[in-house]
Formats: sequence, structure tokens, C-alpha cells
Amino acid sequence: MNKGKENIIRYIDGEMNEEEKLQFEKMMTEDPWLENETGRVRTLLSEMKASAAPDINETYFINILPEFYSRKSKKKRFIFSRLAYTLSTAAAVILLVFLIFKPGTSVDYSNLNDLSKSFTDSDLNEILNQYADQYSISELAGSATTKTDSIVSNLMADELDLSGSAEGSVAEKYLDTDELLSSIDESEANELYSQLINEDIIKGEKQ
Amino acid sequence: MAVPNPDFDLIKRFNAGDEAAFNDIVKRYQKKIYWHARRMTGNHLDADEVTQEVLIAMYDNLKKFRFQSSLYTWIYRITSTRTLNFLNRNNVKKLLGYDESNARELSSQEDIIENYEQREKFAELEQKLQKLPAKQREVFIMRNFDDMSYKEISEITGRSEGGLKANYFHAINKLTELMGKNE
Repeated sequence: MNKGKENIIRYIDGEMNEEEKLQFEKMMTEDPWLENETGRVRTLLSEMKASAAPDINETYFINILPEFYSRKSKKKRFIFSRLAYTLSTAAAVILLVFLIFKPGTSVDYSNLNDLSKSFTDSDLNEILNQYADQYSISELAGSATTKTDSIVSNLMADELDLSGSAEGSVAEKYLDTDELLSSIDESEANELYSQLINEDIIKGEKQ
Repeated sequence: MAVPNPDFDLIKRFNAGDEAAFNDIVKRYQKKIYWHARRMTGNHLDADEVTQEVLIAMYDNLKKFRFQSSLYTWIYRITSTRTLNFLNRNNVKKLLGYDESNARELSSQEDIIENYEQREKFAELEQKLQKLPAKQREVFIMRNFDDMSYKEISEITGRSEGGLKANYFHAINKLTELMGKNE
């Protein structure tokens, strides 16, 4: 830091104590450059100060308060509208996140009918053709028997042998023939057999 | 007996619900706010923007005034902070390539200095002040134009008196160099 300049500024700024001030003034009388430079800096600062406070149009200051109240009310409206927008956006995001990540979320099958109505016939045909190539009827039926607990569905699937795993007829599967035979004696059995022959129900055996 | 303080009375009236008291405070200090902002920003439009920001901050915070400093110091502190924030925002905008200087120049006809000669001299001063770093400029303005003591400036800016003196020295040094080149 230039010590001479620093002293000039401290002197002009009134930052010197009495002793420093007297010493600096003595130096100025002995050093014309120091005296000129001190005078130059002091003049420049005075000129700057004078030009820093020009005459002004007072209308501006008369209008400051009305402008302030106008901006304040606009800011208030802006804050309310921004708050409303922020809250509604946040609510939508929370709802969306809840619906997507809710534990145990499953497809609502009750809406499948509505969904299917939104497809045209050609759309449905296209989808059916696409999946027909991928899944056989027996696979679809097998899947159905494992996913439903309806006795009727099981009976129908087994009877039609759609899964390819059904054994015999409905009567063979669900009637306990051993128990039936043990509950009748030999004469009753012979009589039933003769009636069946007479009725031609077991024609295959007769032939 | 406590000396009555007209500023404190206005604050108490405002806090009690008298809006007119706020208007009186604004009328009393609006020029000081404007000129500080004007000398710091270097143009009328930015100074107007800062002035309005300061008034809004005053209105919102007067209830928190603790009567531990003068109202003038409190207002000046808000003005100083808001002005430096405004200048920082502008610097960021310039860095991002969003410069409004052309728009400002076109609107400079709206300046409130009506006298042509005074306006020219003031514009010259503004140009030189803008060449100082913001903190040096601030100290120079407070010390040279508002005749504040280093203690007052320190209270407002929160900086040490030694640091402020160094800033003031550098500011004058730079300004006298700039003035010397023009002579």
C-alpha cells in the first residue's frame, strides 16, 4: 500500500490523531507534490459529492407509495394463486404415488367389462388371434381350474376333459361304486343287471 | 426521563394497526433509500426496483423491530442487504447470458434527474462508481455521500471498522486514478 496516498486519505478522512495531523501538515509545507496531491484528492471527492445529489423530479417520490400498495396487492394475489397451484399439484402427485405404490394393489376385474367395451370388434379379434397362437385351449382351461374354486367350473372342465388330465366320466369320478355294490346283495344286483339288459342301456356289453 | 423518539412512535402506531404511520415512515426515508440504491445500481429502473423491495421488506418486518437500534440504521441495513442481493442476482443473470442492460438503456429517458447538465455529471459519477467492487462502492457511498461514521457503517453492514477503512482507501485510490485519467 502506498504510504503517501494512505496518509493523504487518512488526513482528508479525519482519521489522524492531533499529532499525526500536525506532522502531515508540516510535511505538506515541505513537499509541494504532497500538498498538490492532497488538494487534488480533496477537490475530486467534493466534486463527486456535489454531483451525487442532483435536483430531481419530485413526482417520482409522490408516486412511490401508490406504487408500493399496488405491488403489495399484486404480490398477495400471486402468493395465493401460487399456493393454490402448489397445493393442487402436490395433492395430485401424492394421489398418483399412492395409487401406484399402494401395497396389495391389484387390478380391479369389475372394470374389465367396461374396459372390453372400449375395444372395437376388430381390436378384440386381433387380440384373440394373437393370444390363440400363444395359448392352447387346454392351457387356458387348466389355468381356469386352478384359479377358481367353483365346483361347477371344475366339473365342467373335467367332464369336457379340457385340461387333458381328467380320468373317466363324471359318474366314474364322483360315484363310489365299491360302496354302492357293498350296500346291495347278490339278488338285488342280478335284478338290476337284468333291468339294465332289458332297457338296452349297456348294449355294448350285450353285443 | 426518556427522550421521545418520533420514529419509535410511528412504529408503535403502525404495529397497532395504523397504516398511515407506515406512510409517514416511507415519506421520511424514501429519498435515502432511493439514493443509496441508485448510487449502488447505477440506474433509475434498478434503483426503483430495489426501493420497492425495501418498502415491502419494511412493511413485512416492522412488527419484528426490537427498538434496539435507530429506525434509520434498521432501514439502511435492509436497503444495503437488498441492494447487494439485487446486484448479485444481476451478476448471475449476466453469467447466464440474460442481460437486461439494453432494455435499461432504452428506458433511461425515464430518469428522474431533469436537468441535463446535472444528469450528465451524475451519469459520469455512476459510471465511475460502477467500476468499484460492490463492497468498496458501498463503503464509499456511506462514508462520502451519507457522512456516516465507520462505527455506523459497521453496525449496518456487519463488517469490521478496520476492513471498512481498507475498503474506503481502495475505493478512493481507484476513483482518483479514474478521475486523473479524465483530466
